[in-house]
Amino acid sequence: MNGFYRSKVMIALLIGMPLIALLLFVLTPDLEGLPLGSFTALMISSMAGLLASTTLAVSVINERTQGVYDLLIVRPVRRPHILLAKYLAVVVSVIAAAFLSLLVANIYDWLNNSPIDIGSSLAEPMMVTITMACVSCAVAILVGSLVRSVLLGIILTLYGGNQLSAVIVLTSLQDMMSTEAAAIIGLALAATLVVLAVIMFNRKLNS
Amino acid sequence: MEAIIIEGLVKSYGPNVAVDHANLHIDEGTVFGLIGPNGAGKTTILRSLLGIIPYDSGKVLVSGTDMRRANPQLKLKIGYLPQRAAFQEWKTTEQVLLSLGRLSGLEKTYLKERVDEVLELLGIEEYRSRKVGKLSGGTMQKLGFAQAILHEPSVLILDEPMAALDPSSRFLFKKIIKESRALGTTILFSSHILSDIEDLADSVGLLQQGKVRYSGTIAGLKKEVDLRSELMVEVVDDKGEWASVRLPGVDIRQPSPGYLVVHLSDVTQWDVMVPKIMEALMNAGCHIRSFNRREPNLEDVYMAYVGGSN
Repeated sequence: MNGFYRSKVMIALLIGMPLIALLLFVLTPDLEGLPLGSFTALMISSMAGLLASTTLAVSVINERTQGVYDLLIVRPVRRPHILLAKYLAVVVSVIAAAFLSLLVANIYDWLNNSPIDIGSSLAEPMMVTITMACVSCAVAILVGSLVRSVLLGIILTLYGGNQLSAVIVLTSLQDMMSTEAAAIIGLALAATLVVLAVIMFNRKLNS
Repeated sequence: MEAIIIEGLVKSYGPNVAVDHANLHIDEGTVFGLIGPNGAGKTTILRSLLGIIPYDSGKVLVSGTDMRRANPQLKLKIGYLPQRAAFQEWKTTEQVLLSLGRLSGLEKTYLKERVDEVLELLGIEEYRSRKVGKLSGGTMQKLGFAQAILHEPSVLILDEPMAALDPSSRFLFKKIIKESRALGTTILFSSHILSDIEDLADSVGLLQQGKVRYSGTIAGLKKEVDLRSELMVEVVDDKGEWASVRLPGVDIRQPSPGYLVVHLSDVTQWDVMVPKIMEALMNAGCHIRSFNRREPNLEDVYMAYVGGSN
């Protein structure tokens, strides 16, 4: 956590995301009155997890193959804690960055006298972002625990993790189920993937 | 008392047996050198010992404890330097030591003092604020050594600690190892640099194809191989005059032009025979530039043991 929140990825998420959202909002000609808050929510849910999860997968692959974890294992550190700490650090950082971006966007809307509904402009986008971040980061640590090639890891995380998380969230966007139900399914899937990742991580460290 | 006990250790990777019923006993407060060709199983033994990898069968104890099932606090007795020390690249040298020191249970104020101490001891204070990703290989190895001794462990396990070091850094590592032994630390290290093993180790283990071929003192190993000491003679303008020299119990050979190697059948007679050999060679017409007696070193013994199979 200590390292990730100061990393370039987090700087990109914390500063870049609101800026990109604002820039695209200004440059996009036809948004049919979509407020900045909703626009930012769409941006964040599609990009934040993507950026963070690929970084997470690359980090796990590099550190595992270089033997960084050997120096932790020989100390009183439990193997699952190494992976869980990385996962939680990234997910919490993404959630913090997403919350900050949404807050800024909603304050902008409020200053421009747009009506703000806390539920639809803050709570629901956050629920979507949390679910997507949890699922894509869970795929990232699973991929990071399984493969040795960074390139393969990036491809699998991009097309596996982000597509998987998008499928779950799309069901709620298509009104097939409520956002809450989609979030519960997504979080349950993420938990399953994390358990799998921990098992595979332990096996790989044993080899 | 024995600090490390390895009995009947077997570890296979699929069909390949990496370590085959290895037995090693290492006394407390001694330095033990592990030697053997590449792929002999040295690293596998060290990693099994540390509980990093599981093994198939046998008994592996450090300070009476199996590290696979050790109480986490018992792990603090061990310091480990892997063959290629790697750290999270975004951290600075100081951050690496601080975080590993915290994981080793060191109290915050003492940890800061200790980090200063080890950085100074290894001569890497100037790299304190440099990111690990920007360190040279040698400095990285020094950082690896620094983290291994940071929490003052009673057992140090070093895998090829001096392989990538320049001569002055090797000298520094050897000095620290000797000082640690003087303080009662048990040290187990593997190395390909046999002169380092000879300088440091009280006893050695010779591994070949996963089997421990020998375990004991270096003197015992030399005795077992039965390599004789020899007299090296450098001659000027060599025309083969030495071939006419005949002395009982003396064998003279020429491995390369200008050089003679003399062996005695009775190695206790060197003091008596050297003047006689010199006199005989000069009487035969040899112009001797230099001569010296050479005892077989660990490298000769190692080559006699494993050289033929590589």
